[in-house]
Amino acid sequence: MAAKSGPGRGGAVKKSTTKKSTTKKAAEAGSSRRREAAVSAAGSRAQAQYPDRIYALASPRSIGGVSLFEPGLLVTSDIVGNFVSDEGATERAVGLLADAGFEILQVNAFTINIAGSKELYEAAFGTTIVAEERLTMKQQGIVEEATYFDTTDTAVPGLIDPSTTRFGEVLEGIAIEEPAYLAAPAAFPPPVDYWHLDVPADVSLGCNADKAHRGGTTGTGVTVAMVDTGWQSHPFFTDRGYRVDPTVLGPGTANPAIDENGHGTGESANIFATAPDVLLKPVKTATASGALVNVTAAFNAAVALGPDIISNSWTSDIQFGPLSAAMQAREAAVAAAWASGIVVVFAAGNGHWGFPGQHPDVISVGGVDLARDGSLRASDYTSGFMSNIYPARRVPDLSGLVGMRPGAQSIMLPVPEGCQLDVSLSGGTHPNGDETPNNDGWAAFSGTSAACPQVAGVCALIKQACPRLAPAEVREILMTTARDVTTGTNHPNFGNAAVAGPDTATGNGLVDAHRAVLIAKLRCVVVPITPIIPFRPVLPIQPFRPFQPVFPIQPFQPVFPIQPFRPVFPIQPFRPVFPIQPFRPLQPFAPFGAGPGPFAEEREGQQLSAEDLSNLEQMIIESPEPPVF
Amino acid sequence: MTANDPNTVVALAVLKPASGKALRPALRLTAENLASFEPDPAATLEVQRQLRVAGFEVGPLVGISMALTGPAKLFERFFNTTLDAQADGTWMSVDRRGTPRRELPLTAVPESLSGLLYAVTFEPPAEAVGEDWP
Repeated sequence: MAAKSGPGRGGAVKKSTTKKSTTKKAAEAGSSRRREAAVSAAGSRAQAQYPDRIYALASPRSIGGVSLFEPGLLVTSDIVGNFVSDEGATERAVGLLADAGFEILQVNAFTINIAGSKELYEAAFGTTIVAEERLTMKQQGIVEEATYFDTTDTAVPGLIDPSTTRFGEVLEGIAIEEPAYLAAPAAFPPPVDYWHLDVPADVSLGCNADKAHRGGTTGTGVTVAMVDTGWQSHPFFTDRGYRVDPTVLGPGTANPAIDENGHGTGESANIFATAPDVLLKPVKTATASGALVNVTAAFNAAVALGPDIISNSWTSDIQFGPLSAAMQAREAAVAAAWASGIVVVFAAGNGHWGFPGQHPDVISVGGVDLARDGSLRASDYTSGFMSNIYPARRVPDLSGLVGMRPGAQSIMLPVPEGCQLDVSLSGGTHPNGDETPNNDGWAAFSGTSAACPQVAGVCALIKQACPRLAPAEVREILMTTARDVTTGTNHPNFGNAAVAGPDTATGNGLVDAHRAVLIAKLRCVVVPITPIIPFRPVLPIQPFRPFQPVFPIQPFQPVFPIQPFRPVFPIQPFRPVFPIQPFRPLQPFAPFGAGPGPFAEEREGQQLSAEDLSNLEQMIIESPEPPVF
Repeated sequence: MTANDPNTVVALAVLKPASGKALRPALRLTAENLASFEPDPAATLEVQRQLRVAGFEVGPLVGISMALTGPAKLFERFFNTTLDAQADGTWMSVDRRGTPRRELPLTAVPESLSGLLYAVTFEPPAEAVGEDWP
């Protein structure tokens, strides 16, 4: 397993004010002055600031006679052969270094990798090791100071000159290692050998969102706020051009560009999987330790942003009332947002009596497991119950995609490298670990935390298709169009079985974005509908009647002298019977309130009645393959 | 005070309804009945003003509550209590008997403010629901 993020092997020293001032001095001076200043400052530095092991590469003398560390030398494949070391010289060098107390970590034809303390280097090579702070880009694109080690021996940074020591006969130089950092995480998920879903493709397909996207409904113009642990940039998002506003800090939180936990970053990928063109507005509600605090205050901050939808992958576990003042404030905040037209989506919980996931004014989202063969079953990881607090409130309303116990590690999600989730879920053998490194920027997890933003994304599609829909109408469409799930049992805390029709295991079943969008489009059809003018084919051009030549005038009986021939009628130029009318393409249904449409003056035929719309909705719901339009 | 400061504290100020109805703990607030329990706009402004004058940062009213943020010492002085930071990142007010409570005492708060408040309370922790939970 690779090491967690942090300074590279050469830079294991923590920063200090002294070093920062040293760095500033060094930057202002020339090369030699910089080095003198560094040495001077180093003298006053505490011993404890240096790590126990400083790593370096020692180069035995090269057979070409030129040092591998010659200033200005660029080693390429054409000349690298000159820097191979004689095998005997390498063996002697290894012996000398080992005798001096260095750890021999690795030997190859060019260099010997060694480790030792600062004191050992100084004693063996008659040098002085100094530490310098230099600005560098670390993991996650963060630019800050890192500790580099140097000597006063040469003009080449980090190079020890052994020529005046007993190592001079066998070594041409010793290069102190420099800090190194992992490159940015990959935009693609890591390959793992177990069944799981990737974002965006698998989650989109599983939620039947692909067809909605093909029909042009992708969440454009819709904003989704997400109250979570924060959000941090990742190539998964940037390479795909997803749109994310800067994170808004909830009260009591800090570091808007950092998601220490990784939960918010990962779950946001579920929103983009179902609604790739939404504008995401993250609101951070976690401390640096990842604890979720002041969530109602953060929710209120999200409401203040005026989004169309708020996605909440968090919960409190409340089975019975009465509610505390804090929970009353929370339920009132949720109710106020809903009443103002914001679609509020909450996770039902992973074994929790989820609150506010059981509030009547939220879309409560449970979990369905999607198997490799496409079969669906209730997730045994997620909550489903009849609320004891709100009479007749069934939880969930419907479900998104969630894995199974023990850990529901079923969706590979992008997270900040080395964040808490990257580390805690890493390694192991699935399902007891996601089998990925702890610093690769990917982690497999799900829960209703994943299902909630998937459904929030589908809400965005619905709002794009029909912006005037109230939150309750959005919920009704989602529930009406969900795919019924009839097998499986939810979390053992509840043990509710999925049955035909709505139940307390999955609600109305798995979200179906395509059907939901079709219904939303119908709901926004102008009533009375501007009829589509049927295409009128241009009348075919009538064949021109062949010119019938005028019969030649028969000569009269020569009563009169014969007149020269004159046609009776002049020949008329050809005219088509009907002018060809230009073809007008059909116009789509006009959205509600968009005016009568371009063909209003040509309205004809019957209008769709409310009953017609209802019948069309039923057709969409019951059709095994609703059309894309 | 910054958000990085571990002594930065956030609480919710819950306001009394303008209707005079009681916010009983058994009451369930939903979109249907919320209007009957919303605070008076003038009272809301007055609460915000007084809390700001006292030194708190005050958030927007959503529903019946608004967030107030400030240093722990300010909370202790204004509410005449002792605060205790919890391991889960939340805070408790400790009364004279040493009992920790989420709700802050309003006895030391000026009547012109306490008369408008139903409660000032710390929020209990919440959980992200993407990780394993027993």
